[in-house]
Amino acid sequence: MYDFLLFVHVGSVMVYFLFHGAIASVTFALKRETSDGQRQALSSVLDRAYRVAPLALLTLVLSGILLGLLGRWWSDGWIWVSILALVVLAVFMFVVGGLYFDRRFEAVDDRPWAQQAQEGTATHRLVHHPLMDRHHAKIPLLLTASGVTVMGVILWLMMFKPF
Amino acid sequence: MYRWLVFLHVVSAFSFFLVHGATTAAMFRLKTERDPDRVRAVLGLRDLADRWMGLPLLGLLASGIALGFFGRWWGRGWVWTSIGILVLVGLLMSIIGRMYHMRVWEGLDPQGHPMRKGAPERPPATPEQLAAILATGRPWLLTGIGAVGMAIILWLMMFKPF
Repeated sequence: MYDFLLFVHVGSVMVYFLFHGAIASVTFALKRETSDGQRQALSSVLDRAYRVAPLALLTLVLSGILLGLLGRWWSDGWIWVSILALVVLAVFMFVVGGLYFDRRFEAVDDRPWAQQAQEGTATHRLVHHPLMDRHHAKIPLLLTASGVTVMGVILWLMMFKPF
Repeated sequence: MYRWLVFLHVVSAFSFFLVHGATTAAMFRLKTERDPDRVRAVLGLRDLADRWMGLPLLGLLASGIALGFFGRWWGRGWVWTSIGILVLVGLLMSIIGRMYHMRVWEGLDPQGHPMRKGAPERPPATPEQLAAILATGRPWLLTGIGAVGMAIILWLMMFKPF
């Protein structure tokens, strides 16, 4: 049972990365696409990825919780450090990534851009924000580097269980 | 050393999936796009991912080969079955996915795409022709092949049944 859950856990990480990878690629592609049509097409790609990625994340979290119970890992330090690192990363991605996309897209009416992305009608704007104005071009790289580093640390903690 | 190689192998696999995500999303999106400008943006996304895919794949193969030696797995059946499935999935992905991608680029820009340099001069596809090319995409088939193939490989690597 434990091995099977581990299989599900690793499999769901792969699926999650597959869909999250689409989001990451769009952040880079947005830097060079200039027309509204091109940005709309990219926002539509984002929408599909945003719809499926949470399902994989849910499977990942559920199988992780079950693995913690079956393996009696909840009293170990590495599992709590992993969870903390995951939460910090998620908050960072949500805030910085959200600001980046907010600056890149504008809904054609009052609805959220994500909803309009679903219809392929979200258009482009440049929203001014001090942080974004200064570091905008570096945001995709910053997001990718922080994501890869933290996920590498979490993987190391899970594989080596050092404390 | 062996555990570090496994770590590197898993990191490479996860990185590969991260980069490959864009091509998967692009395949699905292309089925519904008809406007050449939008199609170009989605194809560009796929090209961006294509450029970076080799790096994690190289890490995956190099660490996998090294693991085979360190773990003395080369005499076992599961490792050869995994390689066979990986090659088969790679071939099918290339034939179905990459060829589709090339057909769409060729329709949009017969001479402009770097992989078609030197092709005979032809006008871009008409909207009807482009729609017909885009409709030939098989994203679900590719997803099914990839998901089943990767699940079997993961199972073989984790459970080493034979």
